[in-house]
Amino acid sequence: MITRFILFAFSIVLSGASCFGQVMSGKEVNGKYLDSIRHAVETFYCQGDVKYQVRYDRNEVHKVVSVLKLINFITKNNVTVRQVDSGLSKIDFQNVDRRNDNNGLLRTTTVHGVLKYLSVTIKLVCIDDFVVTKKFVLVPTTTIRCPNYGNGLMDFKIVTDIYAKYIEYPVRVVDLRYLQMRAFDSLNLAKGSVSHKEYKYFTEQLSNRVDSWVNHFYTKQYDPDSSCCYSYVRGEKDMIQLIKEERYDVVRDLVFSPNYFYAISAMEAVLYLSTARKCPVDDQLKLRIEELKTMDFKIKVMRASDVIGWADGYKSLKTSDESVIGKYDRSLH
Amino acid sequence: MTYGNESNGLDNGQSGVNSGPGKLGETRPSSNPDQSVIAIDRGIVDAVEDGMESERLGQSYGSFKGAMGFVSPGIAATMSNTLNFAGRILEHETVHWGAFYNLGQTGVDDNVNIPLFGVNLSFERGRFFEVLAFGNFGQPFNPASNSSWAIADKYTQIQYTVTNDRSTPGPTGAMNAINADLQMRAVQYQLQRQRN
Repeated sequence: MITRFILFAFSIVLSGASCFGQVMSGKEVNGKYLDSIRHAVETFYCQGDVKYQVRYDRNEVHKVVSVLKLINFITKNNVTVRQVDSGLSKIDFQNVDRRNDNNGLLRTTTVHGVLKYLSVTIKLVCIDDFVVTKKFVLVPTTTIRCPNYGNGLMDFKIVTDIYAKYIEYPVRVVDLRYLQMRAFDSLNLAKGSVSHKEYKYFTEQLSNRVDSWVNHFYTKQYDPDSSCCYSYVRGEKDMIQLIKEERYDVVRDLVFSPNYFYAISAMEAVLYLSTARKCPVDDQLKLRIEELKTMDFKIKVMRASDVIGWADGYKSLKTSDESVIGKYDRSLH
Repeated sequence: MTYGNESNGLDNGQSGVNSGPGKLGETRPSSNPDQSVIAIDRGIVDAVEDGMESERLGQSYGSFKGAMGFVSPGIAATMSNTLNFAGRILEHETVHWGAFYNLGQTGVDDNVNIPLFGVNLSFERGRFFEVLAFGNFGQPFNPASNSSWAIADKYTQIQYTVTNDRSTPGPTGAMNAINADLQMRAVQYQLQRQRN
């Protein structure tokens, strides 16, 4: 009797699930998405004439799988750099490159590893040991032949047959050349911020999930690639937008951003606003501005439209308050 | 020094993925020359590779193929034009390189300053040379920039290939659009029409 009841209850649950439709797993969603792109590439770009590598070395595929599993672990959990390092040390890369860049309170660790079938770049933006932003770029190293399109398309066979079976986090294909994933960890941001109260993190705004440009802008602070590039000619475009929208309080708060590039951009905007009497500079702000001017974190500088250089801190830009104010004045009018 | 290639220039300037229109090369000088980079657009590198593959096969491959309804242009002439174009970009970036390391132009910009009749004229080195080097290649695309058919083909393909969201590219409508664009360019490049 009890067994019959359990079976009956189970059938109701099953029928309920089919009524409401099944929720697809991350792997299934990725699989469908990548399959559809492979189909488009084969039929549309290559017009049916495409040749993939026939066989893949099983041991090498196993290494790729171990990288994908590590990426799943990193995206699913509130990880620390130490945990990631421990995972990376277990993978037998042919070649590994590691670099640390400091940008204010944020430290970006970039690991570039090469396997026979995969070139992976992992970028982790951290506060102390807490990983706040996780970025992954996966480039299959195998090539395909597509006489109609030519070189440059990625190997969609390995992507759909192997990668798609393991990647759980939403992935996107960029330019039909590589896969990219990006995750933001607000819990780790909260943990990391505890011991650095002197900065403003915009955690409240980040958690309200309103799809506005300002909210994207707050998140972008934690993306290492968005800290580009300082211009002598134009004011930073997001600061200009904030000034146009008269969000002076946001500009002021951004001077305390943990991202040095954002902080100096906001500082310049504040210098302009203070002369226009729109943002008073109190003692706290004055101290912070002095501090920012003496710090020597690297800043990416645009010297011409196709020349991107580096400066060691704001002072090495050798700009004056007058030229900054003039720059913002010109950008706004 | 590294010669790299990136998906940066022959694009439609979408933010987030590509750096903007007409940017076919980039110089990234560093205080340590060994860590400096001259990057050439990946589309250009791919076009050169398509040319090498065409030469190897003895028949047009990838961007060296003509548009639908048109005969493929000669491999040797297309390769020559493609390499000339790639060479001009490299030359242009090398000018920036030289300005940084040889002339010590490490300040605000690397402008060329010419005092003339009491007026100080300042030309942005990049722009000044870009006009000479690239013609008006970029947006809007103009084949008068004496590039090659392969470059024009890659440029057109990339316009439709760039994806920076989770949508699937093609085939609805895009195939007709891409073919129409390629055919328009084939006329501009004076490719021969196929005879039935």
